[in-house]
Amino acid sequence: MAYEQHLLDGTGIGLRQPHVEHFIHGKPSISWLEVHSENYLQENSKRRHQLRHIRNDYAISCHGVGLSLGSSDSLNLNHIKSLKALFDDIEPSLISEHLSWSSLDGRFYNDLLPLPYTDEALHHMVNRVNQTQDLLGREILIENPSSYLAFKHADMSEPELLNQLSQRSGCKLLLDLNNIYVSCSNTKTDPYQYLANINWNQIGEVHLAGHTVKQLPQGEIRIDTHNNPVCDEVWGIVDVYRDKLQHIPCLIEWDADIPSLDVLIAEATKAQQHLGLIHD
Amino acid sequence: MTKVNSLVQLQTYFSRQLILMLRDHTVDQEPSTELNLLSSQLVESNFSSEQLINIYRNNFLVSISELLEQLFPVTQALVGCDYFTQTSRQFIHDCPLNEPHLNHYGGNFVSFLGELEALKKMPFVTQMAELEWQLDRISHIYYEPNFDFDALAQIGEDQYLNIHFNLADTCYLQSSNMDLIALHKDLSSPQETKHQDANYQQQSYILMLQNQQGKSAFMPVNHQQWTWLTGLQNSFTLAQLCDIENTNITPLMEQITDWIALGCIDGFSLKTNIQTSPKLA
Repeated sequence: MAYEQHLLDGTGIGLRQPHVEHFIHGKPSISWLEVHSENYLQENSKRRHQLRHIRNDYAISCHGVGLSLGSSDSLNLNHIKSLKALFDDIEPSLISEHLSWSSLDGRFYNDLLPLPYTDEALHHMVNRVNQTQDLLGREILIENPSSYLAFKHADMSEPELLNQLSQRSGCKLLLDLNNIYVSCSNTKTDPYQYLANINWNQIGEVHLAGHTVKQLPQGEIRIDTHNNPVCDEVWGIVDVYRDKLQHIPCLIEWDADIPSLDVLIAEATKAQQHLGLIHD
Repeated sequence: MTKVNSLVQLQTYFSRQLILMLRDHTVDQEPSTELNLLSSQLVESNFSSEQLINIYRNNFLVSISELLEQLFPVTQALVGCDYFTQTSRQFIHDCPLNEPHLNHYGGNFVSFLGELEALKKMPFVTQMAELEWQLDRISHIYYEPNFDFDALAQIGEDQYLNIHFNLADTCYLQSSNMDLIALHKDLSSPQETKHQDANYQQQSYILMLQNQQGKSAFMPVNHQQWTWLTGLQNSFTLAQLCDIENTNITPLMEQITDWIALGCIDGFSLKTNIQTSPKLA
């Protein structure tokens, strides 16, 4: 199917089901949209048909959560085949997945589970990303996950692993600033140190989202819930890195307790202000 | 202490920790040893290893539990929240998600409920879950009714009885010895509108379909309609449908016309070499 060409740049939002009709019957003012690939795999589904319709008016990024790239299981070729069919159909501008695993022995956990940042894990991820890119015939982006724990036997930091992964596989990186802030808060590390160590030349997309602070008897822990506005500390990171970030497509992610489309668009506008793309 | 020295070993231990406590009896000595091994690999923090792993466990458990609650609200109301939660956990433990998405997972929950000993004497619970699952499935299908009336007009009258009409994928038939529709409506509606003297103990035949707004819907059908619909489902010709209800073609065609208008029938084919009976008049 031949779609109109739309440039994926500036600030986008995640397309969520409660807002789909707005995009079918109108053309809300937003630069681009991101969808969760797994929600659109069924070829003859209403959702897939709606996405084709919306794709005519917007550039789309497909963000996956099911490839389980870090898993010791073999790569799920059926899933890759379904994804390839989706990408051939929708022609997304960007495709992304995660630095994580979510399955073992064929059992899926529907969550992004943590990897130890070892040479073994890096080697494994490089092979899997290479295989995936070859099978899809497309470049993918890999996103840094939110972490609640860290492994002692790590051979490198997360940004070091991501840099190596990108260099060896040719993949790009999706930098989630909220995830960096959540992970660094939880593991008592410095988000600015993290950002100083990342290879910015490889960043192809940025995510901004909200999270939840949970109080436990021993202190607070930050949970990546995507059900809130972006927090002040993450906006602070955006302000510091504005010059680098304003050239990278930036997404407002909001997946739970989904607000009205107006609220989401206002959050995207706020991102543009912080990025210096528009002024108050 | 033994080290967790490979990716696969670490993931194996981590996975087992995730599915602990879904059922009480899974807590045994071996996983506790594994937790200790796993804990020894974690960078020290203010929180215990169990608390940290519990965050991942909750993410996984809550996301799937919420999916089941969204898919089966009436079934949940029927059995009560506590029983539903307990059964969901058992299901998540016994019937793992074996795909990288949740698109089909609810269908397995229906068959799982059907196997539960506690629900054997209440088959209507599983039937209600089946109804809810099918309504959800139907709502996701892309369907634009486009019946080819011109092609039908080309069929000679002498061939009518050899026609087989196709039931659309957006239709689903379900029967029950309970009035599932009344039960569904009463459990979905606010407390004050419930029929206090409702008698649910009656046979029901249900046609589920996608309505003109693209939403899933259901309607009761009578015994004759049910017989014809199940006949269509089994690829019966009009002659065979007339035979099983011992009618002529006129009331059957009136009914078929209604179903075409509802989008339940999306096409037809001609079956040759079938003995037609003299029901045309």
